[in-house]
Amino acid sequence: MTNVIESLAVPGATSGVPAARMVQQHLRWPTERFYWAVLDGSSLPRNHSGRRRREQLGYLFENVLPGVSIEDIQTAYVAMDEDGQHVIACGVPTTMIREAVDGSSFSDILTLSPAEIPQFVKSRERADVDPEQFNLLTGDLEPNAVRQSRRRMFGWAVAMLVLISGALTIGLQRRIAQSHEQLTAVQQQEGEIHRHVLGSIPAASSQPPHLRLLSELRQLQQTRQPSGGTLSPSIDIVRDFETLMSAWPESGSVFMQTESIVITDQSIAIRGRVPTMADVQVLADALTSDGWKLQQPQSNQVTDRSTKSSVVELSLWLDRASSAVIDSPGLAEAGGS
Amino acid sequence: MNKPRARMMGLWILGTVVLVVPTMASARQLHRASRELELARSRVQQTVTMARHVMELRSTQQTVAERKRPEQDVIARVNECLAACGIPSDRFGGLRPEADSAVGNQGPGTSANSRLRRQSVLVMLNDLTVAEIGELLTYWQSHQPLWTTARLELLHSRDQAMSDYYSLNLLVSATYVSEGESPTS
Repeated sequence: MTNVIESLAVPGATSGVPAARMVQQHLRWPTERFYWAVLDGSSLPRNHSGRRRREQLGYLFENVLPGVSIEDIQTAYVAMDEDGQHVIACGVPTTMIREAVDGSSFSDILTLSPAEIPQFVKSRERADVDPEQFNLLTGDLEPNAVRQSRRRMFGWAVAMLVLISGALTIGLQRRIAQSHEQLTAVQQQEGEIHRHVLGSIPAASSQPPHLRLLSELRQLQQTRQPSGGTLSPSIDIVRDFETLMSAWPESGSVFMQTESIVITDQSIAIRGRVPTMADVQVLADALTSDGWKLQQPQSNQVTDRSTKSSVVELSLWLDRASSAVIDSPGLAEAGGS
Repeated sequence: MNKPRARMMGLWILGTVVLVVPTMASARQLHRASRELELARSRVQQTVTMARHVMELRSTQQTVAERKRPEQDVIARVNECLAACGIPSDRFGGLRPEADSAVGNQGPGTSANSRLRRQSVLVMLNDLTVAEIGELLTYWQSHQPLWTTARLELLHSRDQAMSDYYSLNLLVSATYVSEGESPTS
């Protein structure tokens, strides 16, 4: 008896009528009707619990039963301490319970437990165990009412689970549908933006609209944004021409027969004929303006073949000064000869 | 394990599967749908930003052509200009391509410029008065922003009967995005 600390086998229930008393639906039998033992469960594996541990406690309990098989005994075990090393075992022959419970007067019995804990158990330290914990109407002997009640509760629990699961699934599906609706709306909005910006998209176009938009944006960034002075020359030659024409002396003061005017981004070259040397100076003075530097005029007196008169051939050269700023009236009004 | 216990266990597993699987599947679908919606919203936001930028750029003046302009295009522009200024089209004396060169880099970080080229074309016009030349140049400048005037040359007519008329040689140039270098690349 290595694992049994103390045991007391009580074979008192051999007489026919059980000395029991019924307290409502909870049957209490005298202590003497039960087999009792305090088992040492310290040697049992700690990881075993429930059914497995119960089986192993049964083997320990069987060792102290006087010629009775554990299979014939309905047992209940209650740990005396928190770590479960000391266990109180309580048992009663199954046949005795059946005989008692099958009687019509016990049809409503829900629990069967000892009226008291035996004295030798009580005397042990911390053995403050409630006798009602030793309910023996369990397992195969479980009352129909208890079983039905448990089944009913189980059914309710399952029904609640089904309801919760169903509600969850329905809720999730509704949110999915909502998300899809929003997605469709967002996609329509995107399509409208594409149509607004890109116009109608040809059906044969293989390029997705957002790539077309990106392509359009990049093309515009390349063609619409000025990037320094390299793309469009800052020198405005048309404006130079306008300035020149504005500064040109009136035909009443100087009559010049212009042969050529060449305007580039660096200079203005004027070639022509004037009647006298004095006209060269008048012309040079008139054309001198801010932003331009007049080089020394080149003049040469020659005889005109058609009129046989003396004229002056001249060349004027104006260089653009750095940071030239020219301001003048509109070109359309400009004139000269 | 005895049979009733195994059966009970099987029922438990089946019940769990029946209850949990649809819920889990729905949760997963919802997660996917939410993510898809989030992505779509982000894309729309991006699209709105791009569209706004496109509209803004479209409202600005084009300074660079998308591609090299053919001679016919320039001829058409000159003729349109002549017509708008009331100058007979027979004054147009021809057109000659002058140059086509890459726009020089200004240093590091000007990769966009390295794909740009500038073409220059000499436009020859005959028998124009100074007023017509002024009007023509003004119209050209305001209606052909892509084509800037690089050089102009006035040559007096040799014909004595047309002493107030000049020939105008106009060198115009335009910057364009080089072909073969896709703007989207």
